[in-house]
Amino acid sequence: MKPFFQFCRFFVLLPVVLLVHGCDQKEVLYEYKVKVPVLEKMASIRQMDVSVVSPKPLATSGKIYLYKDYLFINEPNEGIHILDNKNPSNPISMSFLEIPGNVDLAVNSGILYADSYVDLLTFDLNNPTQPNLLERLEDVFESQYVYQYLSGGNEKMVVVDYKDTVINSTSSNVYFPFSTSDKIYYSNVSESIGNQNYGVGGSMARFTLANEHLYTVNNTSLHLFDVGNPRKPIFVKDIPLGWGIETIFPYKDNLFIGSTTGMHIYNISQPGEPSRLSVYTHFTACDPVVVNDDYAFVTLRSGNICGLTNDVLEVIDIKDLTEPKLLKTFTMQNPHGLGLSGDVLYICEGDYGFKSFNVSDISTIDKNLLEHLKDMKSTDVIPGPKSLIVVGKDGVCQYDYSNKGKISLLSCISKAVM
Amino acid sequence: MRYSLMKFFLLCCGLIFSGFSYGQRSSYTSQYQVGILSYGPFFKDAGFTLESFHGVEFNNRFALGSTLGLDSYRIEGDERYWILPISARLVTDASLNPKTRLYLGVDGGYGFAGLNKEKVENQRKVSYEGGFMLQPFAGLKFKANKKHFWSVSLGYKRQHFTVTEEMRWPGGIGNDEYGSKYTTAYTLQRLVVKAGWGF
Repeated sequence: MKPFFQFCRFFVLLPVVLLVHGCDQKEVLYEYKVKVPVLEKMASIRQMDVSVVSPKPLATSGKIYLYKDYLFINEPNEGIHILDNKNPSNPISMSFLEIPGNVDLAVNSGILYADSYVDLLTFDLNNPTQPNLLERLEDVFESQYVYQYLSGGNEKMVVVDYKDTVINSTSSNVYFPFSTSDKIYYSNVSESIGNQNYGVGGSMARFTLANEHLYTVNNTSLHLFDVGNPRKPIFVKDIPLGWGIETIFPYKDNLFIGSTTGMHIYNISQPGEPSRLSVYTHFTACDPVVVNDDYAFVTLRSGNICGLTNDVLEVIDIKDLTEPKLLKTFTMQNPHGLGLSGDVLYICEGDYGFKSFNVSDISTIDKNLLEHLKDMKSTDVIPGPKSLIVVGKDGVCQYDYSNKGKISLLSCISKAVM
Repeated sequence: MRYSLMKFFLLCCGLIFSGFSYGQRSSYTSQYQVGILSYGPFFKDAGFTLESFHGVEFNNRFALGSTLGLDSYRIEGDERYWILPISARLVTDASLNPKTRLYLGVDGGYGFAGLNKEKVENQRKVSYEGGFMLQPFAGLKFKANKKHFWSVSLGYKRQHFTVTEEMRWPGGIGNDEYGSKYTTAYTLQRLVVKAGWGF
């Protein structure tokens, strides 16, 4: 019996032990990467000289524009490269027009229109190597920067860049399964900014000229400018279009406006009063548009922003503009921009290359692939009078497409290795 | 730093075992125990522990050796995690009567988390890391026969354990990298009730 009593004596201490309970101390470190906007006063940007500097290497390529023998290549948010393109086999870089916040441009009768964040700038292109600033219309694209044009005290601030930033936050608490009280958290947040810089994502806005008017679109609306006097554009009005507006394509007296959810068709026979003829609706996707007399060709691309999981080419019957009808859908790989030259449709397939199709028979486009250049990573194309101009990840290249089914390389303006 | 200390600890274990060959005035001892890891007197969210001790007993008063164990923890009433603790043990005991001895000791070592398989699913990765362990305890040994004994003990176990959860955001910064990371460092504190057998 003695060991038993010894055992009990030991366990006299047990109640004391029972008063002590275990728990889990928990320290949580939360780290996440975010893009933090870098703000600049719009007044300061306006005070900067919009200057023409000597040619510089292409770092990134945005929108391209062809005017007579001049090729304009936008470098998003930086400005415009101006090239003499008399000989597409040997385009000569002439100058670089520095325009902060520029993503779009259009040229009309020797006048260049370009955006600079929320402003529209007008340049005289009499000497294309030395554009001369004529006019600045302020705050006309304010709605485009709805989340990026902010009041900073008495002054408007615009987001000029985004920085990759790591946010750290810590919290701590104690877990005990029998506790009925709320957990107590202690938190501490700190911030450290990385070295990397990230640019603003691609703009959906587009410019086009028709009937003495400049039409521009942003995510939500169509902006009208009267350019009857090309040197002095006058803002006319905004027409709300709904969310997700991306591209604008003029054809005869109509505007075809691509959005993530469909295609808007506007008649501009009265240029200052565009009238909506119809809206063709499709599932959500990125969708540039080109048209001819009878058909509209729309590419729908999947992507993080666009929200679609399929990549297709849609052919829409637009013989009756008030009632567009989907005729055929063809599977693509990752279609971006497209261009139409006669019966040949050129489609930029992103990382999957560049394709050309004979579209004389709408029902068999997929069986009429003329060429698939798999190594030619491409995002946009202009079938120009002298050359086919293709924009890709690696730069801007021009092709002889006199034989439309078999293009041949003329020249490339490669991006500088940054 | 953590790994350097771990190496130091393993070196100490090696030295302890190397002492066996010179232990002319000492004897080999070992003990095997199973027990419960609980938050307290009630067994809600309790885990269990298995443990073996091998060491050298000096002058029949104290022993030095190493332990290898397997612990199962239930943390925050959620998932069950496994820890493989390896530690050094110093234990001393005193006779209460011819058949019963009181012993007090402490384990100090490192708990490995390698038994918890890293999870990689969709845009999420979860990984685990062990940490230092400390366990003071007190118990009784009851003589079973000339050589063997039974034992019961109570102790407190403190174990560090880290769970890291990383997430990748489609379209976020650096698609190839994980954009956010939760690092949860636990200091697990448990009441340990063990029973065992040894010689």
